[in-house]
Amino acid sequence: MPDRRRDEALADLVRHRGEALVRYAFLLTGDVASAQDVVQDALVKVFVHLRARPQPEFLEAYVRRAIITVYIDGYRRRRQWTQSQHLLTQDEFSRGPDEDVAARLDLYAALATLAPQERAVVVLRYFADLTVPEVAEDMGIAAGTVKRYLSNAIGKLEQGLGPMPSLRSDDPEDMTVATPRYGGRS
Amino acid sequence: MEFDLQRGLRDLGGAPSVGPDTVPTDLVLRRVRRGRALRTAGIGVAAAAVIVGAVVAVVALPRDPVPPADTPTPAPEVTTTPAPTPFQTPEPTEAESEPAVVAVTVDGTIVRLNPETGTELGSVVPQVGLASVRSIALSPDGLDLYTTTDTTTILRISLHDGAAQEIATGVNPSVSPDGTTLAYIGPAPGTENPSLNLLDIASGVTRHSPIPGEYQPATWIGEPSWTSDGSLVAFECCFDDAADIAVTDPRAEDVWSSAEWLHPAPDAEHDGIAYATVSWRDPVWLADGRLAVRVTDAWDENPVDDGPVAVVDPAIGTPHVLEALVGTLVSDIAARPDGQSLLVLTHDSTLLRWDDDGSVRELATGIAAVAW
Repeated sequence: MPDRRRDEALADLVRHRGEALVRYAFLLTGDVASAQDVVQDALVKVFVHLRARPQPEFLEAYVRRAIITVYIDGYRRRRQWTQSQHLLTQDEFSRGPDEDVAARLDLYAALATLAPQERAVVVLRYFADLTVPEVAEDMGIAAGTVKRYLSNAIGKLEQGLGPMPSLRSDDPEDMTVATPRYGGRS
Repeated sequence: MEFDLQRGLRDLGGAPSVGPDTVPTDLVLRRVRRGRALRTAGIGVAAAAVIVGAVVAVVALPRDPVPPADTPTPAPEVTTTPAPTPFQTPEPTEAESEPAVVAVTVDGTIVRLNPETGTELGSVVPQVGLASVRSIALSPDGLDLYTTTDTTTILRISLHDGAAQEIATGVNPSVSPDGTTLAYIGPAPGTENPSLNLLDIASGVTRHSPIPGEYQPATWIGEPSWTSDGSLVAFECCFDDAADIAVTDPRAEDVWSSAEWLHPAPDAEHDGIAYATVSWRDPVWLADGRLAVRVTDAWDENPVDDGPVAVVDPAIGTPHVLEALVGTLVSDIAARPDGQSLLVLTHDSTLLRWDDDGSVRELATGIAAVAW
């Protein structure tokens, strides 16, 4: 496919879905500037490799998958030098009823306690509504590893948000596995 | 009432004020076009990395001779030190001839692992949360761990009781082999430009070496890696269109003007300009003077690909790909003090050990960061 058409596909995606992608990345990074960086890097990754123009809905899926991998790896390669970050302003937190504001603050703080992989599985499972196998495929890890991350993440989130028993269901797809947090050969 | 996590995430995702122009289309297009040009003009990562005797451009050799491989800096023997330690003192075993591995789990616990089997030898819960830990560095005496938090604050954490102390503003801490100096990356006072900083641990005095204007805009400086005699540091420095490895004497009067730059030789040409299609990243200095690096696509400013790990002799320039690690998604590398073995941390938090006989084995899972 000529470069021109791929460029058009990229421009279309950014124009129509750029905001949604940044909001998605924001759930991972916790600040807008980092989210914008992650989305840019993910777009570059996808479109440099792109050889044929897939359906638009698949194109966004590719970019969302790249956002996850860029976030997890890029987290270690932190690019920000200063302590100042573009955190949400008080006004942004303050939209809506008081209980919504409080919940927003609580969730924001709770997510910050998660490791990158844990935060990624939470966003994929409960925001993007992927199944455990789909999360595993997106992240390139085993389903058992996803379940372990989910179990750890829910435990940490419950520290700040209260018990969430409905997330610990008996659904075989969601069943958490009691694996040690790390293991070694004895 | 149970917190509705799904609703909460959707609400939180809608909170930030971002508009339709939040992603700069033109900038992304430029990066994509440059990446395509490099890919179509060149050989690519896998082929370039396995070419034996690939020509490597070494702008200049390190100023001081590297230490010979048979005289490595003695590693700290954590289990034999009489100083109090929170780690449970294990029964002496054959494996104790090797320095222990110190790691942070994905849960934020600091653990000491048997370097042969990955078995836990002890643990300590730090007094600050380390769930989002990045790289860690271990003091040579094995008593302290240095790491960076979310707020780009470097902490020193006692492995005796987990007490944490704020040390500096920055990232990527790395301790000199003699334990006297902490190298890290962060803004020099009064500026937001990246700087190579040297903190004298005893006095608390920091020497800042901000990257000069002619090297701007540098977008990234990676974790400094010390030679075993502490005379040189190597680190990745990423510019707008390339990533190179800088090798310099950190105590030189001007660390930037005295730096030597290592990078693969150009192996492709496009529009009359020669390019190297691969970059070397995340250098880790081995005791014999060679560097372990990750080989990635040159156009990729945030490489996640399964680029191979290679060992490069700066004096010769030929990269030797570690075949057993090809295809592994590597997020971090740590070297045994004598350089004969590597620890490789993968994207799914698995800790692998590579030995110089070419073998690879899994030591542990659920690891977020590691030091050796």
